[in-house]
This record gives sequence, C-alpha cells and structure tokens, in this order.
Amino acid sequence: MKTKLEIRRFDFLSLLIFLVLLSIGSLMIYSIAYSDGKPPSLMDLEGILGKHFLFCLLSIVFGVIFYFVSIRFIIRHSYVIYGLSLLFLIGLFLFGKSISGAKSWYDLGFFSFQPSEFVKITTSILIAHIMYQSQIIILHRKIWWIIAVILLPVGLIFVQPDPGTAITFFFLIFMFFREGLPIYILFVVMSAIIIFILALVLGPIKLSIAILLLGYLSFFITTWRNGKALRKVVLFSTIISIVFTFASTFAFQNFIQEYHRERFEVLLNIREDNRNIGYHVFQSKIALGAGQFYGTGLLRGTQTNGKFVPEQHNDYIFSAVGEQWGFIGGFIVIGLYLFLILRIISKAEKATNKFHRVYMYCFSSFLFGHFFINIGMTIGLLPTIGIPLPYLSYGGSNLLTFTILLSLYLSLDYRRLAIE
Amino acid sequence: MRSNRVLFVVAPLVALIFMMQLLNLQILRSDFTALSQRYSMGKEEVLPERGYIYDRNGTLLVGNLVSYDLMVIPENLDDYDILELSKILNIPVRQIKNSIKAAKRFSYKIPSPVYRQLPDSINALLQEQIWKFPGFILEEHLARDYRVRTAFNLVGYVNEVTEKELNQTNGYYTLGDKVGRSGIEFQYEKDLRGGKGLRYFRKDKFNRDVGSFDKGNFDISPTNAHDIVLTIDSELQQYGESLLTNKRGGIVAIQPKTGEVLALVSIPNFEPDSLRKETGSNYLIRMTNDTLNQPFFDRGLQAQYAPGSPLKTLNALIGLQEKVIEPNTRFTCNSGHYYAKGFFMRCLCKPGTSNDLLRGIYNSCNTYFSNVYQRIIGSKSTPAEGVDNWKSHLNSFGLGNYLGYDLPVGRPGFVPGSSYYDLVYGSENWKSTNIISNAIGQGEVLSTPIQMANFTATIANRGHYIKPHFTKIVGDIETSSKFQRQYTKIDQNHFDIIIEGMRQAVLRGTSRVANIKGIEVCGKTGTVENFILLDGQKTQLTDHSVFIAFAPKDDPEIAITVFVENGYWGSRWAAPIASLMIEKYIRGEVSRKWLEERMLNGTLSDEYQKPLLGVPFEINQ
Repeated sequence: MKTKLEIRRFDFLSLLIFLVLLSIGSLMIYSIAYSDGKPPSLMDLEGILGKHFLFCLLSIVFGVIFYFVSIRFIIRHSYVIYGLSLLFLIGLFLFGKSISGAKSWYDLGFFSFQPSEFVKITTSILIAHIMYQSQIIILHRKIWWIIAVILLPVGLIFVQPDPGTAITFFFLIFMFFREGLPIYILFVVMSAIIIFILALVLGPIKLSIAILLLGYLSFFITTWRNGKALRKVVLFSTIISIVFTFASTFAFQNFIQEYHRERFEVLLNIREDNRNIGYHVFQSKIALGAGQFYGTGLLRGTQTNGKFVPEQHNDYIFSAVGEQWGFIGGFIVIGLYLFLILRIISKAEKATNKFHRVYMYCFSSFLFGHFFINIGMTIGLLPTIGIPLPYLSYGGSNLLTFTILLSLYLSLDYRRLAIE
Repeated sequence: MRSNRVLFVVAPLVALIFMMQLLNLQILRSDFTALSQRYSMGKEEVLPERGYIYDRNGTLLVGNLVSYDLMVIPENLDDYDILELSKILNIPVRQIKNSIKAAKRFSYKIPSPVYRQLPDSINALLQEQIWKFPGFILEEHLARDYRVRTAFNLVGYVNEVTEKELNQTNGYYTLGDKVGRSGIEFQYEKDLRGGKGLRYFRKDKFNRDVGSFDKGNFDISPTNAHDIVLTIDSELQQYGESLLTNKRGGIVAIQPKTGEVLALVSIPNFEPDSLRKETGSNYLIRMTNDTLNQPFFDRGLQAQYAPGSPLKTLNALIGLQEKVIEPNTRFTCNSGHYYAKGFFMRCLCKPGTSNDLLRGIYNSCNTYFSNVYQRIIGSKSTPAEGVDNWKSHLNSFGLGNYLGYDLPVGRPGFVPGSSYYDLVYGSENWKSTNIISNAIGQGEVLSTPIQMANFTATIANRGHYIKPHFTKIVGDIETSSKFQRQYTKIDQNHFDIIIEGMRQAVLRGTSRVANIKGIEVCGKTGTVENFILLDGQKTQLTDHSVFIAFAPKDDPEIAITVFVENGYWGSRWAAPIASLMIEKYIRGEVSRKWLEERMLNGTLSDEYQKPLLGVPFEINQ
C-alpha cells in the first residue's frame, strides 16, 4: 500500500512536460543543424546535434543522481555549496574564457562550463534554507541576508559582464511576493519601468510636464475629496517620479553600455535598424511570419534551412518552432511552459514545509524569468537579452542547471510529507 | 498570504500577451511572411542556348562553344603558389591579388572572376592543375563559336549588355547577358536568344543555392532559341572574301528568282572571335577606331558610290519605255561629243563611229547615252518634269531607298529630282546639259552595291525584283513570303535588247575578260571617277572598278555586283572577280586558275597609300 501511495505522489506530469520540451528542443536543433544539406549525425560530437544529445544524456544522468541525493545533506551543506559556486564565479576573472566580450565560461575542452547558471541552484537552496531556518517573514531584519545572498552572485555576474543572466535573478521578486512582500512594490516597480520607457520615448522634459499635470490634477481631486493623507502621497510620488525620470535617463545615457542602449532603442522604435543590432530580431520575426498558422513543417522552413536567424539553436530556438510548426507549435510551447510554471507553484502551495515552498518558488521564478525574457525577445516584445530558453535551447550549462532544478523539485515534491 | 501569489496572475497574463503577439506576427500581419519569401528564395534565369546560324546549304556557320572563366571562392582559399598561377595565367601577381581582394569584398562564399574567358592554351593547362589552387574554380559558359570563318560583316557579333542598356530594354536583359550587336545577330536577336526561363531556388543567408524551390513547380522553362538558315552560300562567300583580299570593296550576289542574297562580301572586315579571345574590349576599340580600313563599315550595304556605266543600262531602258529611242536609233560618236557649246564629253569610241543601241551598250558609248538622256529629259514639257519622270523610273528599280532587306545597316543612295537641282542651280535655272553626267552614272546619282546587284537582278528577271534578303528560315518559319515581288515601270519587252547588249559586252565589248566558256554571262563594266577632300582640296583618286553581271542569260541563277575601290578599269578587277564568282557558283569550281591567281594575289594597298603619304601622286596608272 505504501509504495502505491508514493507513486501517486510523484509528479509524472511535470516530468512528462520536461521530456516533451526536451524532445521539441532536440528536433529543432536537428532541423537547424540539418540545413547544410545532409542530416547531422548524432555521433558527431563536433556538431551541435551530437553535443546536444550528449548534454541531454548528461543532464538526465545528473537529474537522476540529484533526485536520490538526500535533501537533509543538501540543506546541511547549503552554505558550503553556495560559497563554492561564488568561488567559481570569482575564479572566472582569472581563468575564464572570453566569449563575445564576456568572461562567463570555463573552457573544459569540448565543453564550456558556465558557473553563473549553476549559481541559480545554490542560491535557491540557500535562500530556501535561510527562510526555513529563521522562519522569517518579509521586512524582518534577516531579509538583508537574503538580499545579500542574491546580490552577491548578481554583482559578480553583472561585471563579467553578463547582464542577461544577472537580470534573471530579479525574477526572484515573485518568491518575495509569495513570502509577504507588499503588493504595492509591484506597482512601484511597474511604474518605474513605465516611466523609464516613457522617458526614453518622449524625453525627460516632456514626460516631466505630463507628470506635473497629472500630479496637479490628482492633487485637486484629493483636495476635493478631502483626503489629507492621499494628498501627501500624490505630492511625494510626483516629485519622486520627476526625479526618477531625469535620473533614469541620465543613468541610461551614462552608465549603460552602448550596445545595450541600442537594443532598448531599437525595441522602442527610437532607432530603426534591421541590419546591425536589430538584425537578429528582424530575422526572428521573419522566420515566425514564414510559419503562419500550421507552420512549414519540420525541415521545410526556408528561414531555418537558410540559417537566416543568428544563434537560432541558442537564444532564438523559439523562432525555429514558430516557423516549422507555426502558430500551433508556438501556442503549444508557450502553453507547456505556462502549465509547468503554474504546476510548480501550485505544488509549492501544497508543500508542508517552508523550505520546499521557497525552493519551488525560486525554481518557478527562474523558469518564468527565462521564459519571459527569451520568448519576449524572440517575438520582438523585449529588447535583445541573450539568455537561453530552458529545456529547448542548445547549451549544456543551462540544460543541466534546469534539469537539476527540476529534479530537486520532483524530489522535494515526492517527499513533501516526509518532514526532515 | 494567498492574495500575494503574484506569479499566478502574471504568468498567464504574459503567456496571453505572447500568444497575441504570435497571432499578430504569424497570422494577422502578412508583411513578415512576404519578407521570408523574399529573403530565402532566389530567382535564377535559365538561358536557352543561343540559336545556330547555317548557310543555305546547311553548313553550320555559327554555333556555341564552352568557354571558361577562372573564378575564386575566397572562403576556400588555402596555401597555393601564386607565382605559379601568375605564370600560367600570364598576368602579374599583383593583378591576381587585387582580384582576390575584390572578391573578398564582394563575398566569401560566392565565386568572383579572376580571369574571364581563358584562352584555350591557358585553359588546357589550368584544367590539369586546378587542384593545386584550392579556392579557384573554372566556370564554364557558352560563347559564340565561328565554325566557318566567313561573312562576319553579315553575321555580326555578340557582346555583353552595358549597364546603360539594361534600363532601355524593358528589363529583359541582366548584367552578363550577351546581345547581338550587328548583322544577323542584331537583326534577329529575339529569335536567336529565345526566351529566358526562370528557376526558383531556396537560398541560405550567404545567398548560396540550397536546392530548387518546391520541387521546381514554379519554374518557367525557357522558350527555344531559333536557329537561322541564311541565304548565303558560305563557299561562295569565302571565295569572294579571298578574291578581295588586299583590296577594298564589296561584292553582292543575288539569286534573281528569289531575291536571296548569295554573298555579301565587304573587305576589310573584322573577326568576331577576336572580340572574345582578346581580353577586354581592346579589339573592339581598335577596330572601331580604324578609320582607314573601317572594318565595321559594310561596303556591300553602306558604301554609296556613283554607279558609273552600269547605269547606262537603266537609262537605255527608260529611253525605250519613254519611246524616245528605239533599238535601231543611231548616234554618231567622234571620240566624244559636244553636249553644249564648249563642253565636250570624251568617249572611247573611234571618231565617226555610228552606234545603235546594242553597240552603244557593249561599247559603253558615252555619246550615245548622253543623247538618250537628253531625249529622256526633253520628253516632257520642262526639264523638271523630265527629271522627275526619270527619277521615278530609277526608284522603281530600288535606287534611292533602303530596299527593305533584313539587316540593320544600309544607305538609301541618292537619285536627284527636280527639287534637288532647283536647290543647286536655282528654280528652273537648269536644263539637261547641266545634269548630263547622270547619263553615264557619273552625276549626282549614288547607289550602294546591293542596290546595283538588285537592279542587275531586275534586268535578269526582265522587269521585276524580289526584295533582297539574307534569311531563308528563322526557327520554323520560311521568311521568303515576307519579301514580295516589286515591278518596275519598264515593260518586259524592252529588256531583251538590253540583255543582249550586256551579253555582247562580254563577248566582244568592254567586259571580255568576264567571258566563261559554256556560261552565257551578261555584264556591264564601270569605271567610276571619284574624289575626296584632301587637305581641303577636292582631289581625284584612281577610278573605282565596278562590274555588274548575271548568268546564265536566259535562266539567270546569279546576279552580281563587284565594287573594287580605286581599282581603275572595271575590266581590271571587278569584271574578273565577278566572272570567277559566277563560275564558282554555277560550276562549283573555277577553271581559269591563272585569272584566279591574279585576283587572289593582286593588291591595291599601294593605291590606298597614295593619299596618305602627303606627296603629289598620279592616278589611273
């Protein structure tokens, strides 16, 4: 009877989605590697398909291993493994291999190892550990510990520089919301983003005038309503908004690197450029457009076959799905990710243990972050930020990281009643 | 706590926005779909092989041959011995380096030219050794192959279109296409080139061909190029060309019954395959700038000469038609005559010779024909009407117009009318004596050799001609129907006496050298005075030697005009050449080897040098 109960608790559905996504990714990489006219060989470890196949095997092996590793052991050594992962990040500055300007990799011969991916695992575990240990709620003093745990690797990754990977850590804010971060913070963040974008599009002076008008109007409405406290809020937020308008514009012009600025500007249509910086997204959109409703069919995509989309096996793999399987394929892939993300957080809600819940929220936040940035970029809604799409993209470190994250999730979910 | 599960709200919202954007990109908007086709589909023109050109007997004159370009694909370049390559190609190392640099600028993946149209000797060497030069390939394409080296003035040449022309030809041509430049190649360009087909192919981002698009379902196959069968007899043509070697002039031979041109010789001529073999267009420039030999000037079609004595035959016909003379009308010649007070026209007849029409023709008596001409002009109430009537008769023989044949070049010649003389002398201020030179073909009348050959054919046909033409069959269509019969204003019965006169000229008159045993040749010589402007002064040069003839007399197979510039007597060059041509055409071989020898080896280059040397010279030696 006991075994029967346990089997039912295993999250087969998540495992199935993982395997489906892995298969879709492999087919896409096959089709992208195919376009030289002859089918790529699985055994050719020089080609991307062969390497990808090896990464898949490796990830599954590690996934299985981590599934059976004792959670108690992991928790006990969470500081150590977190520290080790930071050491790997620091070591990059000495031994790292520079790829397109960023020292994010260790060169292990046939395989490049990217520690910033694995830091996602160790950070998630340590955060969950601290939260579990101290049973802290948000705004507790120890929250600064946790923020430090996040910002330390973020800072190290940012100066590699790999801002794309660094940004994904900010999606942990969804975990904080779950753990009690007031919801108005979300509105503040959203407002800040909107003001930032409007400042770029309209220019700071026009926007400031608009904010002043809006504040003035709100001020009278609140006066009329006789809300003294509200009036203070309006006055305060108007001033803050205007200051932020100028500050963000100044920071954008002076502290952000030229090529990142360009990406924003291209996205916001301030800069029209389909040849240089906008080329990737432009080609990606063309590939998607070629797919139409049903897609061209596997190996029949003119854009994929023609290798028009740069880095298609990596960051732009979703465009290969969109071209070859059309809207239907894209719809299904987006649906699978959404289902997996929601599945993990609904399982998290059922967890009886805070460590489980926080870890699962961290996992789904990272997953959502990658999903959001990658697909958003591929379909031209977000600026070009090069991060892979978990389980689909080619790339060993990312696949291994997210497989281990999933494997730990499956393990925790399975053992949710076993209080350790 | 539960209310703070933000991700539960945000994630589906984001997924929804993503799906809407997908819907937008993939289904609602068509511009990205259209772009994908433009970016990944290539279009390639498929050119049919250019049509062949045959002579009337089916001998292939112009075909196509494979010629090679040395191309380089920079991506595939590897270690090689550039000195060795430079040695094989016989071009400096620097030039190879520059080509490679230019190729790299253009594309690393697409072949760029290093050496276009390799000469055969270099090609043979390279074909064996190309493996030594990785990244270099030999690309083949078709070029014109001149199987029989003849009739280049008639066949013409092809050349690559210029960028300027691309805009003028409704977009049919693309850079690198060959287009007919002169002669048949130009005139029948559309038939010879056929219609381009289209092949759609898929390409990658380097524009490389990665296979046909949709299994070639959208491809358009090229329409066939048409072959052309000329009316030219290539053997006769070649023979004519060799006979005119080292002379300047033209030969036009026409089959009177059909109007088919059997030979159109113009010497000096150019060689179209030299255009191909010499790199660049050096040859073309050299030939175009050769203002002395004018190789692109077709002396059969474009050279306008005074017709000389052959025009006497037409004046005689007009006289008969206008009933101002009869065959037995006689005029007395005293080695010439005074046609006006103080104006004497010389003639070769002995003093006191009394000529009837027949004798007048075969002795080519100037006196006789100036009398005839005066009567023609005088037959109307005013000289103006007389001249215009005479002009209309000449026009009916095809003089003074382009004749309407199927080659792109030609000149109309000139037949003066009253309006012309009114302009020269003042209205009604002239009479027949002013224009008497027209009687003997030395006046204002100008004609081209093909016009003379045409009126010779008209005489041979006893009063009509078929517009001369150069093609028998174009594709599947026989072109003969397009060229209609034209009637002259002379009644048929007047021709016999003229023809008899021409026959007698060969038998015992001025053209005896043209006589061939067993073939009834009828002919008429001409010795044409001509002048050029030399240092601003009108200077007379040695007379042109001209001869018209047809044979056999009763069932004419060939009518011919030979014009040899500055050859002096018609009987010295033109008549022998015409006679040899006739014999060659009718018999297939020539029996009078001594005459042939003399013509083949004869040269007039000394004669052509005279006006260039800048010292006084004698003419008509």
